[in-house]
Amino acid sequence: MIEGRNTEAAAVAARRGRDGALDAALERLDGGRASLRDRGLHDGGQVSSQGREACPGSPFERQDTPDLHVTAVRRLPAVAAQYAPFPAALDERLQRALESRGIARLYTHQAESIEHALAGRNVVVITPTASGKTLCYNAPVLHSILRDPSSRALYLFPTKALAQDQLAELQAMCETLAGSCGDQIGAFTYDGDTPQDARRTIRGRAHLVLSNPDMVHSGILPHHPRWTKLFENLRYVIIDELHAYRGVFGSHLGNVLRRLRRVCRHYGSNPVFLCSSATIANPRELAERLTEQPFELVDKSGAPRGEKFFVFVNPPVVNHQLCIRRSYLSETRRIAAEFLKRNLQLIAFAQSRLSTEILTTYLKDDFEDVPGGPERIRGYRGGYLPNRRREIEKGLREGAVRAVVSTNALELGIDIGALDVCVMAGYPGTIASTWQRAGRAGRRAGRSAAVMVASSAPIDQFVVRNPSYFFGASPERALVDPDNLHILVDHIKCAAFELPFRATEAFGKHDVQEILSLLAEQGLVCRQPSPEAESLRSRPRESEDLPAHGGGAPCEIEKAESLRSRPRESEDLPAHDSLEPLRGADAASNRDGGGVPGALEEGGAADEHPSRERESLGSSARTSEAVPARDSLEPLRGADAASNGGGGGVPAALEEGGAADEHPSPERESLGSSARTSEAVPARGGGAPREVETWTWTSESYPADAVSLRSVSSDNFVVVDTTRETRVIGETDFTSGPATLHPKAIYLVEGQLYQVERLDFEGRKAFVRDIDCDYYTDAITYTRVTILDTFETGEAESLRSRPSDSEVLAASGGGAPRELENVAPLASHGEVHVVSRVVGFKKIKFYTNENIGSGELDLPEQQMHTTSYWLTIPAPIMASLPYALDDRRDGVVGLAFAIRQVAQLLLMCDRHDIGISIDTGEQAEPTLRRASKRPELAGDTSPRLFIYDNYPGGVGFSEPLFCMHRELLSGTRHLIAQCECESGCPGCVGPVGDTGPLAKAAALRILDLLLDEA
Amino acid sequence: MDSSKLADRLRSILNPAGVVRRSGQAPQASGTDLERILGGRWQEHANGACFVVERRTGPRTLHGSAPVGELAARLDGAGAEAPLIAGGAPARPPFLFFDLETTGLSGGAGTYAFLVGFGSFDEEGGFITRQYVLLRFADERALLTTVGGELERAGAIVSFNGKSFDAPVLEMRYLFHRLEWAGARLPHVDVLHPARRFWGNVGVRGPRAEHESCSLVALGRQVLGAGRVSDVPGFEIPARYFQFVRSGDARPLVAVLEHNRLDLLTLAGVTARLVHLVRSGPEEARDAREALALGHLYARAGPDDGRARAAFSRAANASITGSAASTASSAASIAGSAASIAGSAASIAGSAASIAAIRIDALRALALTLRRGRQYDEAAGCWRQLLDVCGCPRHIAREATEALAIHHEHRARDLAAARAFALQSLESGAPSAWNQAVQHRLARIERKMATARRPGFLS
Repeated sequence: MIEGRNTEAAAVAARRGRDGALDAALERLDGGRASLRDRGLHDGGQVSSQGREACPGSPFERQDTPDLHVTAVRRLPAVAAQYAPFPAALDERLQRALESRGIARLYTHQAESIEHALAGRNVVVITPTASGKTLCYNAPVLHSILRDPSSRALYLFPTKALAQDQLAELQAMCETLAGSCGDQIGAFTYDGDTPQDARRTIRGRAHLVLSNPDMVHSGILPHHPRWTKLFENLRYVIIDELHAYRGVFGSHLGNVLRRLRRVCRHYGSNPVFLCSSATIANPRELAERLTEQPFELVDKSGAPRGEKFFVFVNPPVVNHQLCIRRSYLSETRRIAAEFLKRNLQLIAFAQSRLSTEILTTYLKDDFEDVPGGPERIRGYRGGYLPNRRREIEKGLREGAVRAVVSTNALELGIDIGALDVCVMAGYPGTIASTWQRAGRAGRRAGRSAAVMVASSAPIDQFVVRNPSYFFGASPERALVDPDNLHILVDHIKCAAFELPFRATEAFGKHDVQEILSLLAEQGLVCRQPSPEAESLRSRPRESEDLPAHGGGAPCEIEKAESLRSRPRESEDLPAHDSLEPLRGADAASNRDGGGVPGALEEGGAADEHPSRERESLGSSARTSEAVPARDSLEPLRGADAASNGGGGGVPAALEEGGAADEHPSPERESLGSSARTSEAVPARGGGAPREVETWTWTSESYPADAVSLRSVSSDNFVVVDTTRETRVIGETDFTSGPATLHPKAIYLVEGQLYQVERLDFEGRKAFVRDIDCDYYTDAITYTRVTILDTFETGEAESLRSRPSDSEVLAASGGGAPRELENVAPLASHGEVHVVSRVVGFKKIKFYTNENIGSGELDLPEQQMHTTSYWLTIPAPIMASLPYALDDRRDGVVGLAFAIRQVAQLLLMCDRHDIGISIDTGEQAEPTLRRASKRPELAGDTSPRLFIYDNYPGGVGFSEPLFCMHRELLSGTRHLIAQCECESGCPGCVGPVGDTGPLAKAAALRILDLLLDEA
Repeated sequence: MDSSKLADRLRSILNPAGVVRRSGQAPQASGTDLERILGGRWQEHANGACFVVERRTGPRTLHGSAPVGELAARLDGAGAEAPLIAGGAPARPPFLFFDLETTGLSGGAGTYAFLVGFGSFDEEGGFITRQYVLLRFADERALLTTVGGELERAGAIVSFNGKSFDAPVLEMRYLFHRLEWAGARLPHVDVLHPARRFWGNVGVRGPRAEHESCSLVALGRQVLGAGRVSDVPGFEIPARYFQFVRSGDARPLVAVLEHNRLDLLTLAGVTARLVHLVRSGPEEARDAREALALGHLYARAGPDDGRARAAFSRAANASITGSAASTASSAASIAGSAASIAGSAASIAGSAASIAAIRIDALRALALTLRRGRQYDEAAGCWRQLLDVCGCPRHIAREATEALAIHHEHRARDLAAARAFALQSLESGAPSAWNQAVQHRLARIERKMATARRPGFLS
């Protein structure tokens, strides 16, 4: 608004015109039955019909109306730009190049992150779409290359398309720089599409390598000797779209980064990590878990932003008894039309490729009456050829394309310019993703709008009817568990292939030596004396020293560290060798505690030095600076080792470790505690190796080939389409295979429906044929969960505290931090054994979720160890219910149905990521989930509800769910209580026919009692 | 998590069946045992020790049908032809034959070359093999340094599929240790590709030379008549090495070393045969296929000095009279092996078809060579013969009819024949662009025929 005055009159007029049109369209969102603004005026009481002009600073709010057509309208006020000068340290040539490209000053968040990066601090930036985040990492990278042309940087994008999108911008920047300073800076993508003959050139010439985690995992790390230049000189690793790395993918990336850092250590480099993320609740925690490095968080955007309206629309109910609503796609069409006919530029997001195509067709019918004229309405999804995509993106930027209907393909940072309106057909599934999509509309000045049209899916209904859940809560936490044993073991194999493991090395929080011993039993690795040990033999005096240190592992660590450099002394590797003394200091802290307090202090002090001196070292001393940062975690490990070795110096070591660890940000509890719990180098007691040894890969296989970063285990089912010719159209991981690919199952690929004709369980193949039908299938699975180990129960909760990144939300709707609450002892989490068997399936009608048939199946049993959260409903509560046994049981089943939806919502996960199981409390009684046959429920039992991670080993959903126990219960209560149906529907406790007539009432009663108890 | 529990969980992840296969700790074999079992010795170096096994095969020892000394003599006499089989690289003596045994075929930082075998002929015509064996992973650096020294003395390295496999694997090991890979500077003769052309896809299966040694075995048998008794199959080799690494018992390696040594000897023999053929010309060719391959080799080397034409022409002739003669020759080569009767019958039936293919290839190559040499009538003769070969593939028949149409239109000036050939090359299965071009030609020929007829009417 303030900026607007400085622009030309015409632009102002155009903006005013757009703003007016937007207002007019917003008025019509509920079909013209009532004016939103009027209602806003009545309910809010303080906002004039002219909106923000009349009431500057006070948000245009109206009370939420969950039962109406438009359930919520929120206004996000305009924000002016905040600028900062270029950091003084930034290379002059780069500043001039930026100026020549029209960037005369930086936004505050850019300046802040560049300063951190130049000082060698890892930084994660979260800023809204189109706030210039790429400069946050491109500037330090280019600066480092200008200062030292041998510098290298590695960019990781979650998709190849994003890498391509950024390549153009980077190359343009490099050219500008080359023009001004004569240095050629090479920027290349290196991924599966890179031609073989170009690869060698890229390996030699690329200063900036743009790749993806999968390529680093299987194409770069296993061939690291060919990438010597990159790894020796790696200054920065950029991880774009950090929030994409959650769940299994994130857990894999955590390990790929462990391997990356391990290889970097081998080559003597220690890159700084620069990450950017969409708004999630825990960006710093995520970055720190993925990289095992401390991070700075930059979350205050200095970019300007126009005023934005966020509207929730619930299609009206057309059949009250079955709670069937008008199709959300038709509703989206109507709403999009309101904006389009007022000539506002629009993006619509649909949930699948099919609905994308349908919606595109609708809008073309409505708005493209001149055949052969310019295509003003376009579709956009995966599967379109790159040229077509580029053409659409350009049309959007230039304004020729007035509307684009897209899958989530446009959710990530592809540049399409600023649009007026975003309409989402269906809730995108997560808060973070919703904000991300909404961010696609919004100009730096002027008004924009985002409209979410709910489908009849339970989650959509919950969100649309509880707008404050969405606007009030922080977005989801992205969860990863890089120490999932299944995933970890796979990456330890890859790591052993890349570089032999030293017998003192750590990798993740589990005991890697133990894991290696087991790999040795499999014949995959073999322990042999390392070259260091060989040189040790030739130096008898040193080997004589060995016994003096006493028993146990600690002294070996020292040897390993100090000897490591020896064979390299003859080589010209000064950078590497100069680092060694510091590592030696680390090792010193590992000396057997009792006798060597001095050494402990020394170790601690040496570890502290990095943090203190970091600033003063500046960027010129990058290589030596590198060590401290790299080793900042080591002291803790060392401290652990020392404590395992026993002795008086232990507390001091811990303290020192803690102090070093504290450094850049005070709120690093999460990292600190994770490192503390790690028993990286436990004492190996009497069986400890007497010599420095290494584990060498002794297998013909290429382990990276067997590991896909996008799933837990490589065992999977492939889906073969036999409709016309035989071709593979998809794959499903082994765990969810039977439930999704049983005979007669409907299998969906991007909206296309296939029916499974035959499942070859042994051959891991499902043969499908395409089919036209209006239902999908839901497997009925008998699941038996046995508790193996309880990690925590509710009692401990009062002590738990959680660092909050909720400031993040200020930019996106003013969220309150999640409350920390006491959790009653009825919640637990731990490790479980899950046995499941698919016994049948139901046919569910699309959109209405009606049950329209079923079938029986006989498939083999599957077993898995995983982690789980469980809720125990105390027997007294069950006994106090004023219902018959059958109805009580229905209540539990209904509660399970609803709680699953809410858990999915809270965990930011997909439907198949979690499983649910009911245990009636009787020993060895098989229970089932969502089955027609119901569990028997005795009068005095305490039923248990398990929500488990549906991946072997678990990927970290259970503990957070345990922490969100109370939110889970109150959310479930909300979902059920607010549902308009009489006695259960697919949107709350499940369809009446499935769950029983009193399920809704009984479930509500149980939740009331549980919440009182808590 | 306490460690026994971790171990249990790991076992269930790694090995659900619960079978413990072997212990992971490498027992230390004593040095003298290794020396005795493998017949080698330790060479001490600045940065470690390197185990080497050296053998000499005397000049009178037979490798297949020829004594080793004869192989040496042939190589000596024809060594100057090596660039021809090296794709033009300036390969010159002394030749160093090399062959690796590796811990895997996939490459990457975790694939080791545990045996680097070198072979070369000495002054007396004896064949000397030096095999560097990685007995401890810690010795790799020393091994690579020693191997680098060995390469220094070579004028060219000769391998079988080494360009795609052995050299990259070894280069990776050098890079791993940040040493310079000396092989990059040397001319490299990879015998695989010429051998395939001369003797077919003998034993070579799969895109990578998965059975590379196996195919050397087959080549040795077919080309040199050198069969092997109780040879280790290639796929078994890594497992034998890992067995040694874990047990310290070197006995499984003995056969691997022998296999590698024989591979080197066969490689030398095959190379000698190749350069000898190149030097002596098509008269020395044993069958049509050898002559044909020789022709291609000469043709690629540069402007024809007549050798290519002679070779193609011999290949074309040998494959007319073909059937009987070549059946005899292939039977002869099979006779050395213990192939079953059924097997050889099948291979003879197969060879009838392949003889036709050789003839087609030879006639086509000869026609092209003749045309390039402006011997148009002879070239046309070849194209005509080509059309007579039964089973001539359509695209080649089309090429022949087109060439003949052009020849008759522009050189022989026989428009009627030109039109007939053009019509012949017009067929339903051809690509539409092709047919369009032919239609164009036909129209032109008919125009010419019309103008040719008109004066005829007038006069």
